[in-house]
Amino acid sequence: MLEPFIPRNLTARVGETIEIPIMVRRLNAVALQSVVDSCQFVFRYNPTVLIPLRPEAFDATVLANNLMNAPMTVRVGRRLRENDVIVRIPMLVCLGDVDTTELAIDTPQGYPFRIAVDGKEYISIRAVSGILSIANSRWHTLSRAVNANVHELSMNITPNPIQSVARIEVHVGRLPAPPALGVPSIAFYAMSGHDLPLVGIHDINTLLYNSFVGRTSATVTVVIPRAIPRGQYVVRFTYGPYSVSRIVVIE
Amino acid sequence: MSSIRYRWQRILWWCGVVWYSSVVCTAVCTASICAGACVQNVALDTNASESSPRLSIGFSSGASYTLANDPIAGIPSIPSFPTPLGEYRSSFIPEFGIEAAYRVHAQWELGVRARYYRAELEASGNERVLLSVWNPAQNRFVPQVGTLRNTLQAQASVVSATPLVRWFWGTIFMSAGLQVELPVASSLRYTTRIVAPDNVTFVSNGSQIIDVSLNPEARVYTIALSPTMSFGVAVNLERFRLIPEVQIQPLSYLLQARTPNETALSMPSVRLNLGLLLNVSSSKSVPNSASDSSAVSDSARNMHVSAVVQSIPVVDGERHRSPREQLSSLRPENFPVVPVLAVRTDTVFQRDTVIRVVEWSKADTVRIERSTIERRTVGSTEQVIVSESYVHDVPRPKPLLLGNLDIRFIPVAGAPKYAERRKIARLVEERMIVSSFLLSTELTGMWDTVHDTIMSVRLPWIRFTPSVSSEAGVQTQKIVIACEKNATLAVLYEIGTRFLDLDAQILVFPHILPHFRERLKGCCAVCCNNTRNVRAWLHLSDVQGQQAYTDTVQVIVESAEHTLSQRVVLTTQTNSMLKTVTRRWVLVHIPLVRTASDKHTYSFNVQAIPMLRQMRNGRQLVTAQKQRTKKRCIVYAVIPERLSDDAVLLEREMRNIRKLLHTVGKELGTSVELVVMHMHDASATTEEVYVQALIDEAPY
Repeated sequence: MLEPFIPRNLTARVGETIEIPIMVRRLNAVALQSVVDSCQFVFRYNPTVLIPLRPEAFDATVLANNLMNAPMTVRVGRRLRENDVIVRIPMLVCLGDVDTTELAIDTPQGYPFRIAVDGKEYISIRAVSGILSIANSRWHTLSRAVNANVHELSMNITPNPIQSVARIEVHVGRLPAPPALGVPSIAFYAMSGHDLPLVGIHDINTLLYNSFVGRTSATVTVVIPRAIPRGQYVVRFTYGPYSVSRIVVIE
Repeated sequence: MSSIRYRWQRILWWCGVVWYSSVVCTAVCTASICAGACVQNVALDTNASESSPRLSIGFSSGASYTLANDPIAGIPSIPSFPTPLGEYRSSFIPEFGIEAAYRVHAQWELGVRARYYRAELEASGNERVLLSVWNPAQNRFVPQVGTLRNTLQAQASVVSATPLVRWFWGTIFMSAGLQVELPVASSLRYTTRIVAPDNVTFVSNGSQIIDVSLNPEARVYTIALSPTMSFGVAVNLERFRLIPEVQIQPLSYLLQARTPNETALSMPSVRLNLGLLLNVSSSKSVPNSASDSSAVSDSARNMHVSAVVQSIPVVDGERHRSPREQLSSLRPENFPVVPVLAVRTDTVFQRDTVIRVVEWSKADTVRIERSTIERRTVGSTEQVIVSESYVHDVPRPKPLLLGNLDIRFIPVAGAPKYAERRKIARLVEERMIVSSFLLSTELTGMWDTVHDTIMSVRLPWIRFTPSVSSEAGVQTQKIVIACEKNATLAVLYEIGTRFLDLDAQILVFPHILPHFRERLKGCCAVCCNNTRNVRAWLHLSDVQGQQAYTDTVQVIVESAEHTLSQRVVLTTQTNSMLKTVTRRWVLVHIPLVRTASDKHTYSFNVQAIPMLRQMRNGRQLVTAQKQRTKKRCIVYAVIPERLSDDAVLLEREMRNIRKLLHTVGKELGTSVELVVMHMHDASATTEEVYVQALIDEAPY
């Protein structure tokens, strides 16, 4: 019918205000003749990189799995054409813990993108997420990403470089033991910016949560599949609003 | 193999460079010497050939100090730095070399100097970045300004050759030369350090500093030609000459860097040099004694005079006079005067830059505002004055403007903080029966009552606690309470800068008249629309016109039609300093609907009235409450303009309204005071007459 998307080549500099457009494409004949009443979706972004300038546009904000989940209801009330913008979300760009972040509206995380057309009920459609590159977060070959919300978290990854198996030991310091501030999670991110978990992340986090409840430290063992391309990755441990990241090399 | 080949290529390249430089220097020296010889031949008599020029060779050493001024924006083959590096740390760098001088004229000599030194440069610049930092007090991520310090350290081993010419005035001389600098090895390091805040680290290494060696293949240094100028003193010590001098190198492009204006970076330097030269050959004209006041500096005059003396015919009577006595009889006015034919051109650059801090500007820009070229002639010198005025706009960072609106339920207005609750699940207490009164205009004073049942609710007190921080100063702040998805947002409260918190009750209600809001101000908040949730946020503006909104707090009303409950999610610990007068209230909304027929029917609905929660049957109000409470009901009747034009119709409507209100007051046990107002609201439906009542009630 139609496909909402966020452009994948957005670029901004630290300190700038960027308006993230949510656009539509691939409208078929029926979609071109229909009036889109409204749409509901969950916009997910990295809160260490982006700060919303109009938070009232979000129905709520929930921090989960390293990302800020912001459900939105947008009233459209018109016919859409190719590359029309449904809504623009103004955000303030900060120097965060990644150089490139995903602006997610797609469904793999379990949040469907729903639209209501011609006064009918909401239906779920496919949406494509975008990518935002922070121009001056990387200089030359150096990553200048920072951890600004470390608090007392710590993470040790051995060995590094990782060949096939890695042992990740995490501590929450003097923070209250999980799940007081939320569910702790570990995620792998590619340096190219995809905030997508790579391997068995659900298994890792289930294991982490089970060994973490009521304690201030935990250790998990991660097996790196051979299908994972070799290179540099960011490993981020998140507990509530705090996170700590490390760059690891998978050989 | 490739590394060996690469090494041989580099060696051959450097040999070629050295050979080329040697050829150039030799050519320059040869040309200078030939030119000097020609000039000497012109200046001196033919007998001057008897005075041979003097050759001196020796060593020189010294120290140089770089006076770089312009910031470095980038260097070739490396991206531009995140911020211009304009803070230099310089020190005196030792230099060693050899020197040769050749006296070709009485007043000037030619020379060449070769040196080796290690050039060092350290430039730094602070970069302000924005960080997203979790603020537990505000329960959200807030922007915080951090500082990164970027430092570039460049080093190079340099061999230089400088052909020069010295012009003597006595023992003092001035020299000018052209310096050829050949870098033979270089290194480049780049450092980024987090200066503030303290608890921030880089992801890449977990520390607060990144220190890397940049690409060694980058051609940071290049062969450079630059003019030099020096002032010094030449002191003769028997066969040696001691030459202390101060050398100025106004332009140097050894480091291939560019400024923010996309111009090549020049690094002027000052050099303190001390040369010790051995006089290999001497001329007759050079005085033997160092005590001679003219010394070497007088050699020019001595050589000239010597030539003149030898050309003077010696008479018999003067055979016993020594050449020095003959010299004393000579006067300078006897020498031929050579006219000055050359016109010298001086170029003076005058550049001034006005730095302006511009608000709302995103980029650091430099533009030229004025450029003039003026020529003037001073004596034999033509002076060209190039004046350029630049304007450098520096963006001013936006002042920080942050706010937070905290919401909690409290049992009564002004309750202390320990009575605050994070969450209220449901406020429905019991099912109650509410009457709808129907009035027919033809049946004067007769009522038909339609009974309905709704859930009784206890309207909660909600505490709004705003917190504002502004760098520039707060101009206005408003708590906006509005309905969800309502296009026209009703701003109900404007609070001052010293406001701490606000206790309010929220009633979900279809319509609110403007004058009603005024009466409710400071006591409770009323929101329109009876089926939507209530949202509240803080709207801020500072003295610079910047506006900000806080996160929206949502009070979810579950099915306000029949099952009224309210709940909020949040919040954090706050203090309550405002003591609001406890005031119970009743809001009565009376839409008087005129039907199409002549039989006008008015309906009177009572919704969510805490007073009526004990009401069990339609007209049977609680008599005990009447006895304990003295109430006064002020009823505002808003009449559409269309009705107000028709006096007959208006009188009939008002009569009906008075009857209705009399009955309502009797039912509620209040004294009713009617205030008639004309409605000018164009958006209102002219077919309806609204009556709203505010009933003050003494505390229980």
